[in-house]
Amino acid sequence: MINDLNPDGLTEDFEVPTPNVRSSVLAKVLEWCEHHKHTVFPDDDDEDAKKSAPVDEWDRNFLKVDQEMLYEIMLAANYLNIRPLLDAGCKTVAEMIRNKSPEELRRTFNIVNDFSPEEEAAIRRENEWAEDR
Amino acid sequence: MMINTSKPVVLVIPGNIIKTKLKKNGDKVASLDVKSPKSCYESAGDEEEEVLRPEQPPNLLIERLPEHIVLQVFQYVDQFDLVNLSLTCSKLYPIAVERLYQRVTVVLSGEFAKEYQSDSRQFIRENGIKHMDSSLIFKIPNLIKFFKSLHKNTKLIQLVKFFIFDKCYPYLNDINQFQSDLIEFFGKYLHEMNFLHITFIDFLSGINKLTNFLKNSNIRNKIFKLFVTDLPSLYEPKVPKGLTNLFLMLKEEEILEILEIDLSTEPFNLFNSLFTLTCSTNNQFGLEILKKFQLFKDLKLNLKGLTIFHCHKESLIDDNFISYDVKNDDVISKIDKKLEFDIIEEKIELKKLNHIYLKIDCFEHRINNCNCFEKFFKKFNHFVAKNDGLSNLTSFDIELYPNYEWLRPHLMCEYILNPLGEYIKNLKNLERLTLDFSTPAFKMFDNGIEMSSILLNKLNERLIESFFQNFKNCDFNLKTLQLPDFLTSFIYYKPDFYQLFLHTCQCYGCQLVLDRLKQDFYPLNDIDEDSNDLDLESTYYILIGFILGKLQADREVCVPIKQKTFNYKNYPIFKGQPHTLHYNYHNKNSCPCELENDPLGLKVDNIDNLVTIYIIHQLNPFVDYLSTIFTNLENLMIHGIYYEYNSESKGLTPIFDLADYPNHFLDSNLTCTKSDLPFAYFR
Repeated sequence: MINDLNPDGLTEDFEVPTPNVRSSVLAKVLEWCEHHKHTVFPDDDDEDAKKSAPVDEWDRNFLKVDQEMLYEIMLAANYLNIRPLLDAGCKTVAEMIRNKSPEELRRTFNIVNDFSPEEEAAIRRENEWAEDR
Repeated sequence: MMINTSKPVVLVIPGNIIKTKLKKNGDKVASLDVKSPKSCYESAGDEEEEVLRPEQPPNLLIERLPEHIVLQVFQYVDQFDLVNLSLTCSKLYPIAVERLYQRVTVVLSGEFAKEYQSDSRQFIRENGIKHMDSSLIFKIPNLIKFFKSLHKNTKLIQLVKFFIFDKCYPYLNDINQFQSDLIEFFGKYLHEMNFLHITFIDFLSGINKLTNFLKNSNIRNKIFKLFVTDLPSLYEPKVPKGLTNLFLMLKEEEILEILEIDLSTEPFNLFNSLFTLTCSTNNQFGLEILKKFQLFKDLKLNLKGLTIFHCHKESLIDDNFISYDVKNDDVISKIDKKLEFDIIEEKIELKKLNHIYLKIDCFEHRINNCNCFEKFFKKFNHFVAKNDGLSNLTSFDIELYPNYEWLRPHLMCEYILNPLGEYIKNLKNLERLTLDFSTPAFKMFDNGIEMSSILLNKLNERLIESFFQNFKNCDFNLKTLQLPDFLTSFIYYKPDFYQLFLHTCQCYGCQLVLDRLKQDFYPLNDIDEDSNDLDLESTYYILIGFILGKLQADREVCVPIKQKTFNYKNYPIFKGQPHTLHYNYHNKNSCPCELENDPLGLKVDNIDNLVTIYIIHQLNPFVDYLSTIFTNLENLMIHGIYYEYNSESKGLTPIFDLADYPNHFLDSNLTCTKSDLPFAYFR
């Protein structure tokens, strides 16, 4: 990743701007970059390939961290514009979301239900079309 | 704003649609009352009160991640997950519904790749947001619910950025009304719409509705694609700021009155920032529009996609059944109607194009000895050779107009196939090719000329080979090939069925299909004509030809608007009217067609489906042949049958249709045995 900043290699010291990134997070990001330094990722504009590709095994294990850490890695990847890492993070969060009821989602993401039962019922009705029943 | 629910919404798939004669049904599918907008905004206002909500704990997803990343996460969940997310809390609700409503695709008659076994929920999970980037609606009740929600909560309306209403068969007259209502509704209230596509049940009135829709000032805030039938509607009430795709379908009178379209000044400087441009006129003289362009500082238009509709014909009055705008005949006489490559070259930066779609033709080969089609492609080819094979061009479509000239084989080669083949094979990076004409064959002989069908088939076959042989060992790496019309030329005037290409597969299953046709349809009750005296051979010819026509004309895959990939199995397909043979050739009297048990005609032993498998069997030699020419083909479409390369079987297999007859069909105990019929030997 750092080589990418200067294609001719590091000829002199320079700073990578990383405000608000904890050192433990930065260490993780560097670990990821080190592991993937030879990986060829699909083109950014090949949406289908990008979306179809499952999170690879190593990334999956790599991202088995607590949510706080996961989000911070994603934020760092976003900030440093490391698309494949951000995508892997997004897919990991999406997998945590997939096929869960609202109650299960609340438990997983520590969400407090702030809807009244009436509001919840109204929203359920509002989006009922999307349930393909 | 109300939806008429006073009557129960009845959703019947009528058992007796016959062609365009639709079942009248007293119950409206839904009527959107677009005339009382106030109530809708008022009711939204009521819910605007501020509610005190409990604090969220700190590591909530959206407290930590900015909204744009959460939306990226939502690219990878499905619409059911989005519904569940919207129910979790007031913070996630707006982001979830933003994604859920952003793009909505309605496919009321959608069927799926075989692996989904008609399971729409499974299909949505795997393809909706992920591959089509869209929420999907497959059922009328859900479409009605969707619009109810927009009416109830007007904030939702502005979330709809893309709306696609794909091809469906007209269940009821009311679908037409429904389409009218919704386009009027959107036209009134939407301010944020980027893209709208409706495949209108009623095409002509649909065009009018669409042009009226696009005249709404609020629609022109964000819309990026315009369709206009006269130039003023391009800039009145205003030019859409983000306009990138333009479809011009102008009248010849208007074009003739214009001296030039000056692209250096407002409003026509908008052309300089277009991505795609389509030029056509009422009578398909699209090149006339390009002629009028006065370029800005000689800068050619820098487009990604160009579509031209142009057909060289000297008179609009002919005895063929093409319906031109005949009153224009004297207007047209002032136009030089020939195909002319230089016009395109002068105005368009061809080297930059990714996609060219040409629906061009010349009808004057024989009468006026015209070779403008040939010259067009020779010049184009010369240009391609000089410009490094047009390395940006990845997709090329050529479609001819239905032609009544009946060219002889050598003329077909000389005027059309050779110049076209030469040109195409020099396109260096071509990945996707569509050839839409009675490929490449001829259909000039009627029954009066004593030539055997076997001989005609041989000629056709040689023509096909000489055309495709062009591409053997050629540089490009074609991934997608589409041949919408391929077989019809073989069957055009020769109803001696046993000799036809349509009767080359010798398998037992194909034999059983013919038996089924004989048992269920012979003698033929043709609704349109009195054809009771048709013999068995002609009956096969007509019935199979009918399904062939349906496959070719009706089938359409709902491909989302993006140009890169064409993985057809990720999209739903519209297969046309179910029980077509039944509705066209059966009397009301008892027949084995299971209209009630299987209204959508999904069962494999539905006769339409069996005949489709029959046709697939006849296509097998062609598919094999084409895969020896184009060795890297991933997708192939012939006559509405979509194939995909299957790495396990190392061959092309149909995505939406069965390649072979089901076992229980082959076991069915019909009287006929394999050796009973004479089979033609083709190839």
